[in-house]
Amino acid sequence: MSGLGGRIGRQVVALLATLLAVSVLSFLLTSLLPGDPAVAILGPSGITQQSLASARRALGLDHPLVQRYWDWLGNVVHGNLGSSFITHISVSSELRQHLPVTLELIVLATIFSVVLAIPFGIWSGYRAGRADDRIISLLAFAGLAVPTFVVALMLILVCAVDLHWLPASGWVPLTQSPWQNFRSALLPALALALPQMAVNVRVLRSDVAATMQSDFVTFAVAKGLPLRKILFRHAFRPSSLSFVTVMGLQIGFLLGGTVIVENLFSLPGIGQMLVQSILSRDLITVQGLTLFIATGFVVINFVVDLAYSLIDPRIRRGRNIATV
Amino acid sequence: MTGTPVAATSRPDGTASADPLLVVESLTTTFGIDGSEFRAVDGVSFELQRGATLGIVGESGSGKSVLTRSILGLLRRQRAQVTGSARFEGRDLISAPEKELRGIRGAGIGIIFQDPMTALNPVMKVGKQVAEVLTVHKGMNRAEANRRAVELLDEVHIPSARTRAGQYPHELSGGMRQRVAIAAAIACRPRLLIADEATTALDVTIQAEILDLLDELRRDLHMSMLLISHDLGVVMGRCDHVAVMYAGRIVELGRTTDVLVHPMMPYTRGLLDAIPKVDDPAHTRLAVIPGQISPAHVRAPGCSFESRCALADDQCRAAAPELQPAGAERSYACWHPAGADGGTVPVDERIESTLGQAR
Amino acid sequence: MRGAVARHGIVRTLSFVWIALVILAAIFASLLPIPKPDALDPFRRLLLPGSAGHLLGTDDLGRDILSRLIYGARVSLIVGAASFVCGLIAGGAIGIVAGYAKGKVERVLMWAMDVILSFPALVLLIGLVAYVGRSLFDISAVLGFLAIPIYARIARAQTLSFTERDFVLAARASGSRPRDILLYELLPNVWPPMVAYGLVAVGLTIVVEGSLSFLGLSVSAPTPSWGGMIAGGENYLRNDPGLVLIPSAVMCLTVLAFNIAGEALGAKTSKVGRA
Repeated sequence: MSGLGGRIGRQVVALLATLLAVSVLSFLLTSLLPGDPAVAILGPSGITQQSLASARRALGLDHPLVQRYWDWLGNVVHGNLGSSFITHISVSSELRQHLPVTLELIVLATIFSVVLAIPFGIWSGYRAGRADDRIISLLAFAGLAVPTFVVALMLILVCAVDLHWLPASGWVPLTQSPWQNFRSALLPALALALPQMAVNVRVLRSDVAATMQSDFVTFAVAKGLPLRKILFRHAFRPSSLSFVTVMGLQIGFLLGGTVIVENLFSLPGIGQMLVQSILSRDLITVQGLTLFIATGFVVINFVVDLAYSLIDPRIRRGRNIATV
Repeated sequence: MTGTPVAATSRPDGTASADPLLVVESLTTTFGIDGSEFRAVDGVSFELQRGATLGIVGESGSGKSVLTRSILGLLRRQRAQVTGSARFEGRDLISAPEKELRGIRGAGIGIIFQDPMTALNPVMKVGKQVAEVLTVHKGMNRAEANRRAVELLDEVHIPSARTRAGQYPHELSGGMRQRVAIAAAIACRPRLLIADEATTALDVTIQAEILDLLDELRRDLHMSMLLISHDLGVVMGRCDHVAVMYAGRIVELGRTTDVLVHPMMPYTRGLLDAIPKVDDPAHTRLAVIPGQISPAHVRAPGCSFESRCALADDQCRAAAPELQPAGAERSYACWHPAGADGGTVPVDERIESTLGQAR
Repeated sequence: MRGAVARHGIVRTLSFVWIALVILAAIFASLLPIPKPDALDPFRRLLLPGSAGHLLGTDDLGRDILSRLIYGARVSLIVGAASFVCGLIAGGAIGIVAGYAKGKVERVLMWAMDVILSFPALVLLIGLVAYVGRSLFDISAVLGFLAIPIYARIARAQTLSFTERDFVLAARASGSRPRDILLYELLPNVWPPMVAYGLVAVGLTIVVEGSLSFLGLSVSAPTPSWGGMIAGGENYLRNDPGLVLIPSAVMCLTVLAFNIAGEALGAKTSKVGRA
């Protein structure tokens, strides 16, 4: 148990502790912040003595804080995030409808940002210090300063407005037409991917540049391997490890980014749902979504950590010791 | 070739060959650092016959590793300028295009580096690191190459080679890793094997094992070998010829026995004195050569060993001595060579006995 | 090589000049010879840049773009400064205490920071703003709060690397009070890398606030903000892309300038740290 199993055990405990803290924080959003949540939910116009009392009862505000938390957590664990005060639709069923769009965007954007970054990052690292590396590095650095929504607008301007290649907004579900679905997802996914790509290129470049200096790359060259194999098999694979750790953070940025592109491209994902619920002051929905997104993020980071230890045999060593 | 004192090495039996495997001529490697130039290798010339072994000895900074890397074109990515020539089987490696070199590296010339901890890719199974040489140079498919890789691991005496092939470098000991590197280097039956400080990072006992393995492989596979080390002791019993490098130049060269018994250059003498003697009383202080190689950019026009040499005089400070022949297969670069005036240097019994053991 | 260094020197200088320009313009906006940012000019709508009286043109309501850019800079800069100050003071204090105290205190503090970081920043921000409100003060407070964890991490790491150094050990051995060690021995060494990160973080904060404004979730309508201007120009992307391009360019340049300034300072402080 001192090996991989033990480490996973410790990570699971840390994961549960963090999730608990996340749930407390999400819960406190409606409970502790200034102002009566019932008032906030009803809005300034809808307040009467009676509606206030019933809203407070519905929220369980007449119970002590700790009990309210446990009741709420019990519901959450059973998949019940409450129902919107405005539409009276259950938050979790609404979430289920919107989730596929966001997931598709995140998956596509991750693929784009990685696939596009790999050739530039590897080449830039291989040519470290030369003119082509400088240009790539400079562009990547400048790319860090361009917000997602600006990238999105530029893409719309070029690909949709000027060239009429792709739709500027709207969503076609995958089940309806895979091709149209891809077309509707392409621009938003690219908008999400490009700022991330800049980050990835920088990370990969510095890693590859360092790996190129290592003895085993020199040995690979001395073995007479072609450049392609030296770069991909010997320089990229060891470098891809820190790439994987960045991915965890990246998903966090992407989750934030989807909020923007979904609203910009009118895509029915959870980001749009979040903004709509905020604009309509639908606080139960906001609370449920925040909890859901944060939980997803924490779990994804956990999985990335695991993947990291699976990819690197040096970290995986624990398992071999355990089995010997 | 006239004019340049080419130090010739020859076959083990002493007969010179018209068809040497490797001919290095006036090889110079210059690094540009912050505008100033640094000559890591400075006009090195030597020949290596088929089946012969040449030891290159010198302390760190003497340029031995840069020399081998220059020959194989491994410095092309660095900002190094390499001039002169290194003809391997008649083809000049220095001017060869990268593509041609790629076909020679790993196939015609195998090389092993100093540190087996870092020379193997940490995230790749060792069997595959051997097999990839075969797929590239021999056009084998993956299954064939993997099978052959196991045979090669067996050939370098790795026990239970099949299991080991599926393991990662960190699961192997240092000596084992160096054997893997050797297996990769000899996979394509190269005509030349370069061992660049191949045993320096290993324990003494393992050092001897690896050296014996190299010897065995060299004989069985009829390879020539360049054995590079900072340690004269490593080179002693295993090389037909030895070249002593100092500050980027060969300062003494000849048959191993001759050089060790009659060192002409004071630096070689110093290296010999630095070898611990078996019959020394315990806690004897080792003789050391005082100082270190002066950085190239502050080097004066004179002999680069001048500042550390007991025999140095005005002549040494004024001009650097050229490498000049002294009898058969022997050359040296010194204004005050020992034994040049006919006087004999006392033969060191220690060296004799070491040579005797190795033979 | 030397040429490249000089070029980078110029880029760095330009960055600092641009930052200074934006800050000065924002502070002295009311003294500048420009129209009021909310002054409507209904007969001169959607003017192109270079028009008489409106250097950068006007928007769909006939408001002067240059003026709105300059007044909009106030929002970006105030928000950036708020996160900088909050992060430096609160994050710095938490990080130094955690790094100096070690043990349980350190674990609890850093775990709390990790919990905040375990929310995707923009989502937590949007969630918080929904409850707290959208006045400039609210937005600044929330962004300031969210800035704390990363500053705390940097401060802790930096503190850890100094607590074992001779001068701190000497101060401890000579019986200095912990408070004095924190203030006089650790603080002067801990803040430089925080400031370097802080400049980059200011750029990040400007992007985040811009995203909020763009979504219509930041400061409300009459107050000009860069993100809001870009959102407003979205409908005119086809016929008058300048409405989007100009504020986008100004925003990107400002963020880039802060990034470069941060990197430059970071390189400098890490050199000092090594020496």
